[in-house]
Amino acid sequence: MHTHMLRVARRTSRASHTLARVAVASATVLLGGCTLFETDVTNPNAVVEEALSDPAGATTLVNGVGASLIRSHNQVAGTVGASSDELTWSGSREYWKLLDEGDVADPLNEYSNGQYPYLSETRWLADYAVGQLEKFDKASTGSQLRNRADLARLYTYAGFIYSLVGENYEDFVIASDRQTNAAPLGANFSVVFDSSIAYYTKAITLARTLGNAEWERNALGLRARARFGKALSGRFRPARNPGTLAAPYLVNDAGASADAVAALALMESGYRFRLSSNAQNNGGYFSTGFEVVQRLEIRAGSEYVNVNPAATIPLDGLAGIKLVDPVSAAKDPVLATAINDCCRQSTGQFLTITAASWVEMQLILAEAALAASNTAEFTARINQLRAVNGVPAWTGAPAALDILKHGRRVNLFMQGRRLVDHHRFGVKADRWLTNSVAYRKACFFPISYDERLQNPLAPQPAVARDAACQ
Amino acid sequence: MTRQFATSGGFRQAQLTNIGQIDGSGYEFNLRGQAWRSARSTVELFANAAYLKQTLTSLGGAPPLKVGYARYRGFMREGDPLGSLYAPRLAVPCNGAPKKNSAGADILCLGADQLPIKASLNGPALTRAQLLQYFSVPRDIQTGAVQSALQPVLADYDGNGNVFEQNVGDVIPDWSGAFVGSFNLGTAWKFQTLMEWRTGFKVQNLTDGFRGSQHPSIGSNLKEFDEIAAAMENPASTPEQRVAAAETYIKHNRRLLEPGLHQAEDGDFIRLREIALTYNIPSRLVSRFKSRNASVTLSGRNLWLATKYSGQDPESNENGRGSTGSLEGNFLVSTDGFGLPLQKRYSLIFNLGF
Repeated sequence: MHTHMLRVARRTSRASHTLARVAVASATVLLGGCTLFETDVTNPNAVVEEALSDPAGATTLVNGVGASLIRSHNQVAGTVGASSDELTWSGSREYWKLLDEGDVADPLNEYSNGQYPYLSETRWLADYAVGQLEKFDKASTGSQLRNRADLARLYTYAGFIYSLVGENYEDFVIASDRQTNAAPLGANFSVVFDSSIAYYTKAITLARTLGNAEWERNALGLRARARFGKALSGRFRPARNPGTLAAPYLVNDAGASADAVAALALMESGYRFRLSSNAQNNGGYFSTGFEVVQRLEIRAGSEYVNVNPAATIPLDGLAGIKLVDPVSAAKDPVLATAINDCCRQSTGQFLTITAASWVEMQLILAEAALAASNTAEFTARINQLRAVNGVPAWTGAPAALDILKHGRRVNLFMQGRRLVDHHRFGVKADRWLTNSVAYRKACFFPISYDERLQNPLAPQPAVARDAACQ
Repeated sequence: MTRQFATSGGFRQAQLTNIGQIDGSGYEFNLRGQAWRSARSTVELFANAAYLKQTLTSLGGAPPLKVGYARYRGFMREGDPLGSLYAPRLAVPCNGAPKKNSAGADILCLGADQLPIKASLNGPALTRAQLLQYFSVPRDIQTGAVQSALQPVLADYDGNGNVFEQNVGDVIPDWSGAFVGSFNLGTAWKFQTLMEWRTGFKVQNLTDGFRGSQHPSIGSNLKEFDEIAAAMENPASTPEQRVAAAETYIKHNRRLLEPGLHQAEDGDFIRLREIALTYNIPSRLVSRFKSRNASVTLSGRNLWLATKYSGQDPESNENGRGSTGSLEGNFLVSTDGFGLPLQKRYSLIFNLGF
């Protein structure tokens, strides 16, 4: 167009020459203006990877891992809750219903499928951040990590995402990196617990070096939980036939018990390490709090609460609590607190989840004692727990196993543990169909449909259920 | 296009990637003629037909891309027409020896006494006698227990080993075109019509998939489903009536639980896109208003539709509700998912030219 305008200008009168000059100038300006639309520009708001190499960003990076972890846990609490008796489908979404009825092994389930990318993101981001912060930690003066407690916190987060995967999945892919696919763990699945324990160990060592009791006790408590989880996981993989599920399986893991004792030494009675969601980290494929108290898709289970007939939320106060303490026969106050925390509209949609706690350490030790037929220690542990819970001491009735099961049920409510307890105690959730996979087999969430579609190394065809969980 | 890499690699967001190649070819035929001409009137006709074939020839080694969420059954697979759909297909009666699929295996088919219903994921097709026994008592199809006891028997027609993903067509029309008519009477009257047609494509009818399904809240609100459910759970109905209802359920209303089942329908249609009648007001009248010209037009859009599509509108598309910049924005078409049908629209237009 530029050339054409010049050619026209030569053939025309003086006035036209003037006009042509204006046109040429305009065209030049326009062509010059095209550079405005180049796409190869630096967006000042974009965080480029090089920025993550600056130690000044370490705290922010760890906070990001923490936010991602909370998003992941928030969703796992919902899917485990719906798959167990903790939550019951009360809305319109079919895939909540299917989880509620015990169909935990469908790769297509939109909620277990939807949460998978979030857990993967947290796993990858945690590994990446650990690499960055360890580099800072070893660097020479000037580019060093400014707050080493950030690294202890990061190790704890990294350990937690691995154990969260281990506790709730059949299998997982952990070696993929950006656009490079990796195969699932398969028979080596327990490596997720090993990774988790290794991260916690680093956290504990560093926290002790720093004299940081907060992250030492958190990591100790979580390592006890991870070791306990690993022992349970080994129980269900690969054998899942119903015959092995009839007898309750109690964990007596020396490592878990040692960690629980060490954690208790640092925890005040009733201590809880909690993760709170907020407007910034509440998102995900779904938000469990939103689904429970806003959208009303799922509600607290019918064995736990009395439902308001006019709504899907529990009745206010103790009137809304159904489950009773097996010793006092009174409505369970621990559950009442947990319901207040998760499942009432007044709670709001920002779910708070307990990651590790003093009561869980007592439960781990009580279970180990019961497995070892150490009645004295079992009684002592259970009654320490019950004293903190504000309920009467246990004196032998109901049976020891039942008081343990109840203790886990109310003290670990909505913490993503109930599904495995259903399986190992042979307790069927109230809504499971008798022909559902959860009813028949100790199965957990599969590698998701979307992961299978995008990763040819994952089980194929994408929609197929794992052979062990059909 | 945007590609979702495996999220185990750490990233949830799809990446804009130049990963493949689409080959397209087509033909277009136009026919224009003056059917009538006299001193005062003309009739002009125009017909158009266009054929388009688009094939995804390469994804650069990437696995197939899924378009939309699990219930939308679109895929981008190498060698496929764009917009191909993969969904479960029911087994049908054998009528002789089983046919072979492309893998050389027998395609599962039904014996003379069997219905395409099984009681468990890997169970055999049930016989009518077994179903009569099951339906010797009334059953509530809205309960999970009954739904899981009445599962569809699916077959592998494609030989891909995946009964949940069988090719059922594609969502982009093979042929499309229009008919235009224009009738002029003197300088005062003009009558115009535009009809559009499309053929050779499928519509994913998810709206009715939900509405006519067994879902107790957002489903089960079509009469056809109510009749099925009523027959199954009515104590006064006979086992034969209940089995007949179960057969209808499996063949038509079993939705959502096996995503895509019964979802793809032929979307062929012809629609009266526009019809308009214009009256040019004589200049002697126009000049009184100091205008050069004036006209009045009465027009209507989307006044008539002929289609065998059972949903609300074969042109309805879910994606109209959301972003169009993604893979879904480009390829999630012909997806009837709670979108609005095209409205009929009437216009009365006055034109004044100065």
